[in-house]
Amino acid sequence: MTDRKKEEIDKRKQFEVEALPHMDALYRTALRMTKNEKDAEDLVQEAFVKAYRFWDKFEPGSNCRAWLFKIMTNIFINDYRSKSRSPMAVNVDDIDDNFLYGQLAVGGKEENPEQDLFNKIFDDDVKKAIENLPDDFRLVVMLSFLEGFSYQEIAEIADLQLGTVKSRLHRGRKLLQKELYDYAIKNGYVKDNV
Amino acid sequence: MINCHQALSLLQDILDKEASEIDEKEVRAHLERCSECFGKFKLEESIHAFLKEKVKVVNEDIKTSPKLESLKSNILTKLDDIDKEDGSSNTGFFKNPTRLVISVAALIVLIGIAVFSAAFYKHQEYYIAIEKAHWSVDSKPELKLVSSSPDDICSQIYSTYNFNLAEENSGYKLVSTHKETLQDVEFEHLIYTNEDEDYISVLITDAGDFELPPDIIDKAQTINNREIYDHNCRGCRLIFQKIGSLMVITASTNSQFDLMSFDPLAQSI
Repeated sequence: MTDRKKEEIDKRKQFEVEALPHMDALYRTALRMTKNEKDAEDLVQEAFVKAYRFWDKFEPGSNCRAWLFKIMTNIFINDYRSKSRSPMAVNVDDIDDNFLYGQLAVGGKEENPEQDLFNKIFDDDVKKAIENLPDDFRLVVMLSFLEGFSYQEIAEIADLQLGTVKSRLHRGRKLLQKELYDYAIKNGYVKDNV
Repeated sequence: MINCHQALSLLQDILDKEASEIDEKEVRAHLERCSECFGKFKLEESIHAFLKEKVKVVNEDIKTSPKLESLKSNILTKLDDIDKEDGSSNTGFFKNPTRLVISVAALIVLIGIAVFSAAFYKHQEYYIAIEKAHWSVDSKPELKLVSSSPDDICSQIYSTYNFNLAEENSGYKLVSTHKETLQDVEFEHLIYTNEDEDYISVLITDAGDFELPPDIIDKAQTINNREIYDHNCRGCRLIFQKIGSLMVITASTNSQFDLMSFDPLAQSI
C-alpha cells in the first residue's frame, strides 16, 4: 500500500470517529434553522463535505463539535438564510426587559404564577415560537439553549463579537417570551392584563 | 455592594452560567436584601429553565428520526467520492474546464518543457484565495492567503465570509496582521473587518521584486504614480498596486467596497 493511500484511510477513519458522531446535533440545529427537512439534510451534508475537505485544517484536540458548527453556520449564513435579511425589523426594544414579570405579577396572587402559564403551553407552541424568531436570533438561541455552547464558542462559531452574542441572546429570549405569552393570550390560557 | 440595576444587568450571565463566581455571589447577596429583584430573578430563572427544557424536548424527536440513517449513508457516499477524487485523477476531474487546463499544463510540465512549467507554477502562485487556516476554540480565527485555482478565489471568499452586497462600506477596523509569503516574497498581511463581517484583505511588501504575470491582468492603469492592475473573476476583484518598490494587493468580500480608493500610503482604511 502506498503511503498516500494509507494516509487517506487514516484521515477517513479519524473523520468518522471524531466528526461524524456530531451529525445528530448538526441536523437538529440545521432543521430549526432552515425550517424544512430537505434543506436541513442538504446543509448538514454540505457541512460534512466541506469539513472533510478541510480536515487537515482541524487542530486535533480542539473542539471538533464547535468546528463543525462553525462550518455549518458559515454555509447557512451564506447560502440558506432567508434573503430578506432584516432582524432589526422586529422591534425588540419595545419589549420591556421585565415584560413577563409585569404581566404575571399583576395577574395573580399565587406563589408561582408562571407555572400556571407553563402548564398550558404546548410543545408545538414552543416549536412555532422558535421558528418565528429572526434567523440571527434563532441561531444564537439554538446554539446556547440546545447545544449548550458558551458565549465565547458562539462568538467564534457565528463570527460575532462577544457583546453581539449576548445582546442577540437577550433579545431572542425576550422575543421568545413575548411570542409564547401572545400564544397564551390568543388561546385564552391567560388573560391579558394590559 | 451592588444595586438593583447592576444586579439585573448580570441576570443573563447568571442564567447562562457565564457570570464569574464573585459577580454571582454579589448578586445573590443583593437578592437576599431586595425582594423586588428576588421576584424578577426567580421568575426569569424559572422561565429560562422552562424554555431550555422545552427547546430540548421539542428537538427530542429528531434523535429517533429515520432521516438520520439515510443522511449518514448519504454523507458516507459523498466522502467515498472525495476519497476517489483525491486518490486518482479520475475522469470526473477533467469535466471541469479549469482543471482540464491545469492538468494539461501539468502534463506539459511532466514532459519537461521548462518554459511552460515555470509559467504554470508562477501562474498558480498568483491566484490568491482567502481562507481560514487555523481554527481553534481558544483563538480567534486566523486568515491566510493561499495559492489556489482561479475559481477557488471567488468561491472561497464568498463561502467563507458573510457577504452582503447592499451594505455600506464604513466602519472597518484592523483585526489581524501577520506575515505571509507569496512567491518567495514576504508580505505583511492586514485584515480589516466591519460590523457586517465584511472583510478586506491587504498584503503589502516593499521587496520590489514581486512581478505580475501579464495574463492575469484584466485592466492596467496609472494614477498618481500608482500602477494599478485589476484582476476580476466572477464578480470578485483583486487589485494589485505598484508604487516604486511597494507592492500592495487588496481583495474584499464586499464587492461594493471601492478597492481603488484604498491608498496604500495612507495610514488607515
